Amino acid sequence: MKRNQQTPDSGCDRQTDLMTYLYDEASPAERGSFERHLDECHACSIELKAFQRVRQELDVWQLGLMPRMAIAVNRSALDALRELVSFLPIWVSGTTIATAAAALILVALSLAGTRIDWRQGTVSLGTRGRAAQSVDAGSVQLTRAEIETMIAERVAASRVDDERRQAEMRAQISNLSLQLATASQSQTKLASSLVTLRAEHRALVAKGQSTLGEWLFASNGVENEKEK
Amino acid sequence: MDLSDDQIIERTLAGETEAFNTLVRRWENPIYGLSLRMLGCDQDARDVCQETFLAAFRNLRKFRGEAKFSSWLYRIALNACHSRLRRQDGGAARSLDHEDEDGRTSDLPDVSSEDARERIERHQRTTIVRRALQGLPAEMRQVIVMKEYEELTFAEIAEILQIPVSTVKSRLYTGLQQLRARLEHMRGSL
Repeated sequence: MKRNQQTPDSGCDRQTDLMTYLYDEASPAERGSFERHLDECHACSIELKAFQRVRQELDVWQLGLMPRMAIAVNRSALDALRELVSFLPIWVSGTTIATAAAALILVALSLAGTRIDWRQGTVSLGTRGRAAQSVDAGSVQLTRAEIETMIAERVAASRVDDERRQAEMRAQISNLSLQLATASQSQTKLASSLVTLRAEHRALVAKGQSTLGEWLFASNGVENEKEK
Repeated sequence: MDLSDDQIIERTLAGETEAFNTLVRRWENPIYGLSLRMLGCDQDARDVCQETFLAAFRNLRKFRGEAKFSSWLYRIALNACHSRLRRQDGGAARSLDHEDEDGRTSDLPDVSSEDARERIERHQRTTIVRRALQGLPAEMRQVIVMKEYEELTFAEIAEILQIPVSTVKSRLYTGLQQLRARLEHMRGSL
């Protein structure tokens, strides 16, 4: 034990040793040393007994248990996510991280002009100005397979539509060809009729001219006779 | 198996915030006892207790584990007690009369029981001790409370107050001397 400065109250400089001994924190060697000191130091011996009485008096003030206190902590969404991840196995945690990555992609899409709407557990995606398509936010991993199926279905449906449209177009072309052939035949007939009509017209004109000539000749002969 | 304080802190920091309530249940009575004996008022002690745990929760990431969690918690509680004492009348604890009106009825004697006389005597002795303790300067009172009622070692008290062990012993010695004088005076005036 260290030597202490003497104080006027105790008349001894071993006050800290007295505290160590009083509260039973002295090592066996320190304890032995201080007990030998007590045999010689009347002031320390009196003070030790006085402090032991004070301790007995202090002991009277004991408390019952206080009513149980509860700390209500409002957890943030981030805390809740942290807690969830901490409970999950590693592979599920990986999935959760993938989901978080998907969420980051959604944010990036929104910045790139894709509209994102959150409402009642669903996320709606769509470019600005277009109608949105809903994706269930709670099953992002499942929708990947679902989206692939949807794309395959759309491609298959698109193929059927194309084939149907091609058949319809072929039928229309065939019909138009038939109509064109019919029109060509009609045109040929018309052309032939026109040629015939022209020939008849020429014939008639020629006949008319001949008849007129004859009439004029005849008329001139009558006039000549009259002049004579 | 009970988890250690450090293990519970790790879980809390990992996001399992409900784990912190285990620490609250473990330490609420020591912190409440310290606060009540420092302040002398049940309601103030409860308030300090709640403030202490909320402050600990909010600052849990700042707790580096260099000291024991309980030491850190005691330090927060003592700082809260000293703040309240400064707001009151320069360090003295609240009046015991006020405490008796608002305080813990479990400390009052049940006069209908057979050992009523003994209980009344015990209540009087308790009142003397409480008054004597609360008349001490807060610096000495806190050391006596931590040593006598919280049963902390000198090293633990030194860690909480961040002072040398020898200073703890000196303050305790001086505090006990003053307390002894006060108790003798109060007994004589009865």
